[in-house]
Amino acid sequence: MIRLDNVTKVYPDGTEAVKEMSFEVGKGEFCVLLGTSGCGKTTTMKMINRLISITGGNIYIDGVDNAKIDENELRRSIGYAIQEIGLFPHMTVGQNIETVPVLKGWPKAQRKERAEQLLELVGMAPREFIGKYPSELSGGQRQRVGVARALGADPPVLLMDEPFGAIDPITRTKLQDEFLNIQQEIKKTIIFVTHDIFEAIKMGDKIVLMKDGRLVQYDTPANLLYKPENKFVENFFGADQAIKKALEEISKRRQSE
Amino acid sequence: MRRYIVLVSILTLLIGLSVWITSLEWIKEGVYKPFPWSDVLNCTWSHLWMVLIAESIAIAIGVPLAILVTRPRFAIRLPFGILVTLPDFRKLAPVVVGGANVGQTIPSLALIAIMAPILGFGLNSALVAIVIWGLLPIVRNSYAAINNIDPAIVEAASGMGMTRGQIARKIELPLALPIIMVGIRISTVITVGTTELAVLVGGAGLGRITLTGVFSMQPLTILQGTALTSAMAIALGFILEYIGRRMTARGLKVKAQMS
Ligand SMILES: Nc1ncnc2c1ncn2[C@@H]1O[C@H](COP(=O)(O)OP(=O)(O)OP(=O)(O)O)[C@@H](O)[C@H]1O
Ligand SMILES: [Mg+2]
Repeated sequence: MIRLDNVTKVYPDGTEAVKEMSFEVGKGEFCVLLGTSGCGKTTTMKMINRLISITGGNIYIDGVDNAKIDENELRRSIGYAIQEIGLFPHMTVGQNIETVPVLKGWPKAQRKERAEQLLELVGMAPREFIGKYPSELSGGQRQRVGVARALGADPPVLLMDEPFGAIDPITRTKLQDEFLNIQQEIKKTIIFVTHDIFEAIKMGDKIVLMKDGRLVQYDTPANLLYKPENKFVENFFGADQAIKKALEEISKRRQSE
Repeated sequence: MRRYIVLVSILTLLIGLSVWITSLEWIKEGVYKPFPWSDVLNCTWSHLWMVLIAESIAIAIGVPLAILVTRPRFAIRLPFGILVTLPDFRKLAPVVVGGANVGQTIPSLALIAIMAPILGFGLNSALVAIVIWGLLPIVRNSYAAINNIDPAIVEAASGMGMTRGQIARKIELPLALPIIMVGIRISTVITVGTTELAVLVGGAGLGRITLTGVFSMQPLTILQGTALTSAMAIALGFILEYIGRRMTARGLKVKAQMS
């Protein structure tokens, strides 16, 4: 579904943010980009929808080189959610969710139906919330609307950059659980950026572990925990026994589901 | 509602004051010589016209200029399918905004005085000076309004596939509009004041009355002019505030109420 082939990014100032990254995410898979701050997760993700230009290699979406697709068309077919959410404050919740459907020229009735359906999906009563403004929502509600908006035109692919990053731990856990349930239903191909190992293990079908712009290991959470390919991976997940225990717990719970 | 009452009473007071002084003409002929009705009306009209013309020009130049210096490199399609790529105008922002800041530190009187030898005496040089002075708050506010939009909002918009034009029209403009309107309001109020000085280089307006009063040391004549000038500034300021409020998107008002 999404294939990165030797992707490299060198910023104009010379920073090599991403180096020869190659991995493939299958249809309906939940892929987490994990790594410490500054390792190039966001850069990698934004090259997929071309918010950042690629300087080497290729990215294929359904076999098509994304450089050959009109950038706005490309972005309208890929859902996008970020930590800062970026809801449009002058638009209602409904209008925010309808952004991409409007760009795609959907008829009004269909847009409204879609917005209601999505609010339902993220656990917000459409009647109560569709006409509200972002400033009238709590942080968690805004985050939910951000996810609903990313799903607006039912894109097959979702890019999410620390979408639950700026939220209190309790709400965060709740949103994570909810989102996993939603994913059960919608089965999107997801690329999800986080630097939180717990979130990565809990959410990902597969994890791309990155270090200094390079891919270190691309594997299932269980394999990263039990079959680390090198010392870096082992330390990353298991440096602290207590953390490792907790991670194993999460991993087991996921497998038993 | 209470604000509205205060406003109306101040306006009534100021206009009433001027009307009262004007009618003194009949009683105190020979001692004080306030301007007659016809002159007062003429001066008021010409003042208002100069303000409206100067302000329209200032808006027409200031707002697009401020928008331009927030734009990165972009291409525009001219008629006949000609595609022109414009350079990154953001590089000019320090010059334009800095210029606006420095410009405002030049006293308006000095600016008008400079214009006279350059453009000659008369309405035009007065107008140029008034426009320049009126431009500054518009440029500053418009620039700040657009530049201070949360980058995450613009990023989300472009990440969802909005074109540059769509982002400008659907996102940036509505978000910046309330603050642009504040700039226009401040500028208008200032312009009403600077237009008082137009008479010095041969322009018209209420300055004729006020300054005649100043030079012949007749306090009532000064009041006759300044009361009307103040009334005009307050009234225009109020009207523009109302328009600005009407132009503010509802979602932004909700926020204003909560914070
Ligand atoms: N526009 C830019 N110009 C130059 N260097 C940049 C630019 N954007 C990011 N970088 C650099 O590229 C590297 C990778 O940045 P990136 O934002 O992809 O990291 P990240 O893994 O998402 O980090 P975080 O977890 O903190 O969000 C960093 O060293 C960063 O300083
Ligand atoms: Mg990042």
